[in-house]
Amino acid sequence: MSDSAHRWVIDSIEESMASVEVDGKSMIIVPQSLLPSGAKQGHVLSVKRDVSADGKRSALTIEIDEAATKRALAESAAQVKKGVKGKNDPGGDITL
Amino acid sequence: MSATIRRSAICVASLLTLAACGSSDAASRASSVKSAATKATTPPSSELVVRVLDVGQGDATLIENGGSRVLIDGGPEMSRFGFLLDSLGLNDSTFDVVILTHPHADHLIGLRELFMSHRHITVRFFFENKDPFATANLKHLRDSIIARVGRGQLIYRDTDDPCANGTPICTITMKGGAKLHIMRPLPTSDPASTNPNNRSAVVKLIGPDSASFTMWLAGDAEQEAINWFLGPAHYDVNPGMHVDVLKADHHGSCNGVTNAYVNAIDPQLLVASVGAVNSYGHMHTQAKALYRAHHVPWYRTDQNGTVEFRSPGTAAGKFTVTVKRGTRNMKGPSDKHSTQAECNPIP
Repeated sequence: MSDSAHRWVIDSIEESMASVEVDGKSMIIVPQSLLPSGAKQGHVLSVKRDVSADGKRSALTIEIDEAATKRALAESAAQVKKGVKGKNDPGGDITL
Repeated sequence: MSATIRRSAICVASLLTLAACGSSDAASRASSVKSAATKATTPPSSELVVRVLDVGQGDATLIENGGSRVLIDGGPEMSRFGFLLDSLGLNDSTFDVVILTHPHADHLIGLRELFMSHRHITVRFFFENKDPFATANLKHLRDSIIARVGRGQLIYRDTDDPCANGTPICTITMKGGAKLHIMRPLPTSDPASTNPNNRSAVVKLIGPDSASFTMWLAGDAEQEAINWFLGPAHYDVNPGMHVDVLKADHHGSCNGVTNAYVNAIDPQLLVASVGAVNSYGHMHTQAKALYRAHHVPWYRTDQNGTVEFRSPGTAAGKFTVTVKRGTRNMKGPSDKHSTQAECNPIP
């Protein structure tokens, strides 16, 4: 029985450890070995937890969600276009 | 000039040990150090104060000069950075320039605290590389920035074009005369497939009197980016890389340093922003061995707490280093030997 689904985003991978953003909130560190072998920084992962009926066994299924990754990157690129150089920025060096 | 001779120009004061050089002014300096540790005050016009803040496993560096305030990165936690804003008395204040070196969580998340409405903090200029990245934390931060851009309250610049006029280096002059050069990071045609560490913005800080204090900060730049600084970018020529203090790239990782990099920077001192308990083995033993071989001593935030540099910003002025606890060259509980190929050996 699948009892929960989560969205993970890989923030970084280093020294076989991955820093992961969980459901847009908390950060966790997980061993890279738990992730799909093709998982890279910036990937969105679909994570489902299945628990046996007797509650004694659980299994996590972690999949690279290519569609969600592309969508998130496109949304991110679109977001920064809103904040392009404003009319109030003359450009050049800055004297505070 | 040998490292031993050059190091004689540095005074070090610890809040616990008061191990200071030039003992005549040690007592007065100790009292000012205690004050500085609890509340940030507006420094005299030319004084330059740089604090590498103890934010755990992440980066946050606060620079103040003549009433101007610059922040480079915000560390990994909103609560921790919020605590620092409170303890440094920085609510209801202005951050003239904020730089996010790259969008990894350990540099980014704390910056969200700047935009919490109850803090009443003004941010005038925000620099980041604007690369697309999928995390919600980055989206929320950018939402806050863009909202203020829309209200005409903030200028938002891309570190790939830091002066918004096509030049690769932008100079910011602080009110006390200190200057920051913000340099374009390693270029890429495909940010989504480029290691975000190598897209770190680079900053060179120069005190009001350039002889008194200089510092190099390059976020989490790894060897590919470092080789680009020294190669195609020619940052060793313009603006020049030789400085007094190097903030260790990538928290003291062995992939954030090369022998050519240390030779070009030739620092008197290194400061690593690193968490005592981290999963990456920072500071790596290979990196420490390299710094030791180059006669570069280090402080580190996990063992020394916030590391503070003060320069009077005057001709022939010497800078002082203040740490909350401990000594130079300390070990950390997470320090490990890395098995990364680029570290065995470090080129």
